[in-house]
Amino acid sequence: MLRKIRISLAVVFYTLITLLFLDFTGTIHTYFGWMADIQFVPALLALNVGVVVALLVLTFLFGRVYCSVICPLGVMQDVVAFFGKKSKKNRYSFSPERKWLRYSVLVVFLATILAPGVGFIAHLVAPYSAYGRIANNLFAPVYQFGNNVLAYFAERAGSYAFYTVDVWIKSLTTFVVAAVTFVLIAVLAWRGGRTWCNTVCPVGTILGFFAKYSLYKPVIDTTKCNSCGLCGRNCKASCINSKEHTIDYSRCVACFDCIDKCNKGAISYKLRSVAQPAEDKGVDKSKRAFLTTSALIVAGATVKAQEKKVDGGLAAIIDRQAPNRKTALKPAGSLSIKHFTDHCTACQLCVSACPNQVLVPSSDIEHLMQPEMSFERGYCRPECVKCSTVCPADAIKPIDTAEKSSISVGYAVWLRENCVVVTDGVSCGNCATHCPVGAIQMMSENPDQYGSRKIPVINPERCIGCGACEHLCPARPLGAIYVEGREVHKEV
Amino acid sequence: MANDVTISRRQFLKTLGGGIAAAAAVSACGSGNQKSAASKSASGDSEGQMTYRTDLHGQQVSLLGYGCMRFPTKGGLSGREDRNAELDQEQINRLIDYAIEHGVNLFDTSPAYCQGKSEGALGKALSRHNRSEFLVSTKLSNFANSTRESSMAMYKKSFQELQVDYIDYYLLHGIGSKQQMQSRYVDNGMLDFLVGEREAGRIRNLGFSFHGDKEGFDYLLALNETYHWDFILIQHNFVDWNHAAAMNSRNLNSEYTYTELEKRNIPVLVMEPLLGGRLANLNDHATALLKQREPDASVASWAFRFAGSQPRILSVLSGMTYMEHLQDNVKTYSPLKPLSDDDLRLLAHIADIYASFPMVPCNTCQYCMPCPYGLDIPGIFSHYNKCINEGLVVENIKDPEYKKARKAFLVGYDRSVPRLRQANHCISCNHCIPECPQRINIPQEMHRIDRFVEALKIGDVDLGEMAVLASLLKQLDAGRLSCVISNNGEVSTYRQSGVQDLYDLLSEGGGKLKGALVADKIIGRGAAAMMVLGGVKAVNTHTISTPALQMLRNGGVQVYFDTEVDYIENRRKTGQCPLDSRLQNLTDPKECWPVIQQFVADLRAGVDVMQ
Repeated sequence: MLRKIRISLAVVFYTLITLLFLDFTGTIHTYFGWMADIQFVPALLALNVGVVVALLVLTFLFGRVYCSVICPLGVMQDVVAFFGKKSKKNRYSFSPERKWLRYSVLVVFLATILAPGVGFIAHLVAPYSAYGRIANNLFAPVYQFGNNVLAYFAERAGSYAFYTVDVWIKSLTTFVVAAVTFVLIAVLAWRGGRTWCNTVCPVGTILGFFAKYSLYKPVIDTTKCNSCGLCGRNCKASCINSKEHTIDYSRCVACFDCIDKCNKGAISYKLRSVAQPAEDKGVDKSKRAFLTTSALIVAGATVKAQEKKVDGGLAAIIDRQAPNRKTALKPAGSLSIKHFTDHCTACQLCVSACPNQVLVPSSDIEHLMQPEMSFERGYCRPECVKCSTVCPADAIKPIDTAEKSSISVGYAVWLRENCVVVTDGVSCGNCATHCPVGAIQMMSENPDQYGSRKIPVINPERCIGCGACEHLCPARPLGAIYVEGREVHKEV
Repeated sequence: MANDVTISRRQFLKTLGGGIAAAAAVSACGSGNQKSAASKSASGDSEGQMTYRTDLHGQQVSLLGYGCMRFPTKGGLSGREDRNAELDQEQINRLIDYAIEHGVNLFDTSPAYCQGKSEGALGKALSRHNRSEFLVSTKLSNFANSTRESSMAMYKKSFQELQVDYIDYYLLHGIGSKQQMQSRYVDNGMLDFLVGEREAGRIRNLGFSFHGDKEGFDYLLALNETYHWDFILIQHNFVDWNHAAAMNSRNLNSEYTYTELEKRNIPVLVMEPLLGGRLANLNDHATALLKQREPDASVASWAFRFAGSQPRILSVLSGMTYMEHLQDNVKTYSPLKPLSDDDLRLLAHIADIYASFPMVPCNTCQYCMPCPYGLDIPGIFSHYNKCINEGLVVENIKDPEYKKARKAFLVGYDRSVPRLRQANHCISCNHCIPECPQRINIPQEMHRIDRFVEALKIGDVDLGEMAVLASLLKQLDAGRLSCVISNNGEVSTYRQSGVQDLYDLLSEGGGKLKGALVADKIIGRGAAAMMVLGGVKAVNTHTISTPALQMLRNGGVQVYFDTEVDYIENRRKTGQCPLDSRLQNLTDPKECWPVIQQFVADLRAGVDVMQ
């Protein structure tokens, strides 16, 4: 019964969280966005004390149900393990805790999570963001492809229910990281169930402390047990030592499989007799502990998705080259680069949600996999604040469209040598026409001469950095106007 | 207005009434000495024989002419829809075979069509037939390069591509003015050369295709004395008959062009009988009216019956991509069933409805392409027109249909035009303007559509207001007015020169300006100051000066414009407009007012303000 409840809840959570990453229309998020907010690491980074305490209390009461129900990466392993178990029954066995590995990963995680430049190491092992990357990079394209097939038929049927979306690799580095993570975890899950959760996952280790002393836990009734060992061979956490009749509660993920498996009814989930509150390990305080780690360089050239469609009737459009920004652009609501870097767990939820394809994961080592703005495929449209509404880690704080129109995340810079007015001798003004805040004016190059060509003049104090000018600039491959980021966002 | 319509309908009926009787007679005698072409088809088609007309040299020409601008491609679409693909020669052969088998004998192409592949494909298809079975028509399409050498090369190449040793109908391609005629055909001596070729028999009929205004048409007709046009190709259909000029003041009604040609006994070839397919796909209301009258007839068949009605019409050229279109059109003209007075009245009514829709008169001919900045101009216009036609351009946000229409418009837009080729990428380089045979001000229309899309996306801009502003400017252009003002739905028009109308309105207390929507031709500092003082809500203008733009924006007036200039020029174009220069250093509208008052007083007292 307990197991069935656990599985049903897990399916609901897993499906909806995955849909958060797949649904590009934003509908799911309106109702189930909170499911991302209750994830452990994002809540920790958002300093969302309520959620963190609630999760710890939950674990203290019932054990690691977070790992078996709420964590999407955990449930994904169960899905893989389900097929693993089909191919070979009773495939697991008890193994002692790999304390050394568990704790060193935790130390590295805590040391790097807020350290400048190496935050990505923490994000690599953080379960929710690892899953986010997998969902965004591997599952979303499949979903989008399916959607495009439907859109293809909808188009032929004259329906507007589905529309085509671009399927593209936004950052090769992040894609490779996601793929490697997925393969690694899938192999581990197939062979050993929750190996990842109990040897690598830092959240698993933290929650393990509390689970050790949880009020409710599965207990083996030695009077009923005939030491058949069935429970141990079906424990995906490899934490039941059936010979000794003990369970390592720091690794038990409260899946209740053992209770169902035991045909003697010897295992039951019950209130433990001696309730001792867990001592405060002070994990939160040690976040800023230092550790010198030589950065792991994830190699991988970023290959721009080619989308050339050349034919006689249409002029070829040369792909836009991203400008070389000195300061990266972070979406409005993220306050400053520092705030963003400190809070973002690189889960890619905002990247999935961005309808204008502006947010892409950074390939820069300091901000690796954390999103930044780029205007090759669109610009940050004035009516959209989606990224700010989805961020579970508070890296992008919720804003409305009015606030957005007054936040400057960057300022436009004109590159005379690329401007078509100068190079092609045509009149233009597309940047000024589309500037939503009137920060660009077309002024005579030579005020004394009537009808002299007009060049854009930018008022950086008014510019909000939306990128309309950069995206719509006709100069290619390098644009004649681009947005330079601001370290700290400012009000205009 | 109501009177105008009645008159034009009466003329419409009168002119056509006589025509139809004659047409019927011609078609009757035409089918008398028919070749066995149509009767050969014992394939069970329930049709009779193709209607034929006779050209100046006694040649029988099928009323349906095959236009080769929209040949099918291997993708199964027309060259318009799928420009990557190769032409589908096999399918083209089938189409041409069917056409010839069913009595069609005129095939019209150009070196420019289907990215230059049309002539060759037609040549291949026709080479499988006897030369006596078909008439071929092609053009000197020397748009890009009109030197004698390249024109000559183009002419010679047509013979090779078409695999013929004489051309039945040869056209000077797309001319509308004296200037075009001179630069493309007279100065390089090509016209004299072609006249010589006609004498030598390598060209059987020499003519031109016309796109332009009355001045240009009259000039070209006057040349008939010198060159003796054997035929002229004009745009003619039931909408252009009376509404071409109303929809675009730079075009000419076909009632005029046809009547002038009939007077001179010059045979007429017809292009755009369906306005690029738009008349085959009318809105629900119009379609219902036509289907009510004749449930089995296609919508297109009405347009063809109209286009073929007039007696001097030699052949109606239709660009057919699909077999169904060809079959339907063959059926319509086998034989032509004349339209009754009632039918004509119905079509006149539908033309009125059609012309009242704010469609862009683009027939997707592709002449404007490629746009140097990558836009898919015909694609954007097609989508916009389609949406207007289907009622998906809903401009009132409170309309219950708004949400649905918005989604359909935006989703459909991304479907039909890749994002990088959409209207917001138009920079007004004006490269396309001289290329458009329909003489559409393409950049202006692009900006209008862009503003509409932007408003749809943002969702809180008053689309109704934008629509009113667009229609006001149209009204201003059509009536050659100086200013059009709409206040609470009440529209007033003004004709005085300069700023005098605004001045009078403001001196009277400015009640008409408060919260008004204004269309103006040119806005300088003076007009801008008065609009701000009068409390104008939004303004749409062709030209605006940079200081005026700043003044209006600072004054909280929403501004839409086509061109921005440094300052306003005076009427003689010798320098700055006198009022503009008097207001040179003023930015506050209140400070401008006394200066404007003084200026108008001077003007009205007869002082030479230019000094």
